[in-house]
Amino acid sequence: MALYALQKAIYDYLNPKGPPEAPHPERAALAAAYGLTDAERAALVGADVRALAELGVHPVLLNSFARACLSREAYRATLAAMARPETSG
Amino acid sequence: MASLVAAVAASHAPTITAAPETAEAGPRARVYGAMAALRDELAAARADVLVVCSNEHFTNFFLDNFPPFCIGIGDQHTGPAESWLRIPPRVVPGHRALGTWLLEQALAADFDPAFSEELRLDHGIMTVLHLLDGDRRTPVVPIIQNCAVHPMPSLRRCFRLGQVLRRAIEAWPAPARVALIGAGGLSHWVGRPEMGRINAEFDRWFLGRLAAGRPEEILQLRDADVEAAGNGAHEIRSWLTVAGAAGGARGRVLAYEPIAPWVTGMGVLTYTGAPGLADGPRAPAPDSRAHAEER
Repeated sequence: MALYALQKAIYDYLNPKGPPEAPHPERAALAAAYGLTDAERAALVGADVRALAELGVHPVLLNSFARACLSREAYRATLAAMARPETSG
Repeated sequence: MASLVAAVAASHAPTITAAPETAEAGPRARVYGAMAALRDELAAARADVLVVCSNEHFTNFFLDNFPPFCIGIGDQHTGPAESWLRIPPRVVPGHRALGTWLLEQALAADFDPAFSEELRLDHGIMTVLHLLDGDRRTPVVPIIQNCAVHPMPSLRRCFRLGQVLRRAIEAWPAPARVALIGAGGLSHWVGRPEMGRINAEFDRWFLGRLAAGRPEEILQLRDADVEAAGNGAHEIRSWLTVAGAAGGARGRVLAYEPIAPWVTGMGVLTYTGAPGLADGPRAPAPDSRAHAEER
């Protein structure tokens, strides 16, 4: 699926329709609605920041998503890990 | 006629309210002290309306329609969009008359901003509003700029927007006192592994040019030059809009601190009291010891 659809799903997650207190929609439902691939779906549902970055999600959108889904410490740790070359086990 | 009684700019790192304790005490106190000085300056200026320029973070607009500029003309706005800012969600009063006037005057000046009756205000505006306006609940006309998605309006275009806003404010028939606030920047990286890095050299150069009344040197930067201070540094556009409104006046830097835990070069600057602006008072020198940290 196109990167556009993945980013639209993230945007819709962050900005739910309805009144200001409206809850975030289910990420799995958004993945289905936008016809995301398995890899895109896994990254979205699992809030996998590294995978989303590798898929090309805009960093400002990714930042908003990460802050909504992860603790500050977890987000910073993920970014720090992204700065290091990935090693295979 | 209306008058521009204050013109100020400040960085808007979300962590300034979400986790201020992560910064070392000294830098944190100096930034909070400068923001408190601006708050006092705005209070003394008795502004009836705040025009707040900030940038889009995918809060109101997506890639299906991402305007270079958008003026909020609604009677009210809501914010903050983020639940984790430690700022209670609230309705922010708007100012339809001034918002519509600015829109009309911008169009008449061959600017073509979008407009919105329904803006959600995120940390870009809410952190600064929280610290500078507190419980006064002054009506706000938000102006959202694209500082995130290429292609963006040029630095010069954002500066010229400020010139247009200045003329429009001073031509508004209402006997109102208007303050202009720019919120964003300075150097920072967003959503990238470099997040937490700060380009203090760029920030000090940028602030130095504004303090010298020499914005032209900044306006000659290309986006690639700005990128050297991080993808978040494009938010200096909001500062340049204020600089344009200040009409070449010298700004006064109240604070600059590169605060890595807040992932941002934190600057605070005022033009208030500069020649050509209305009778707004100058902010006193910030006294970091006198201002308790806010939450």
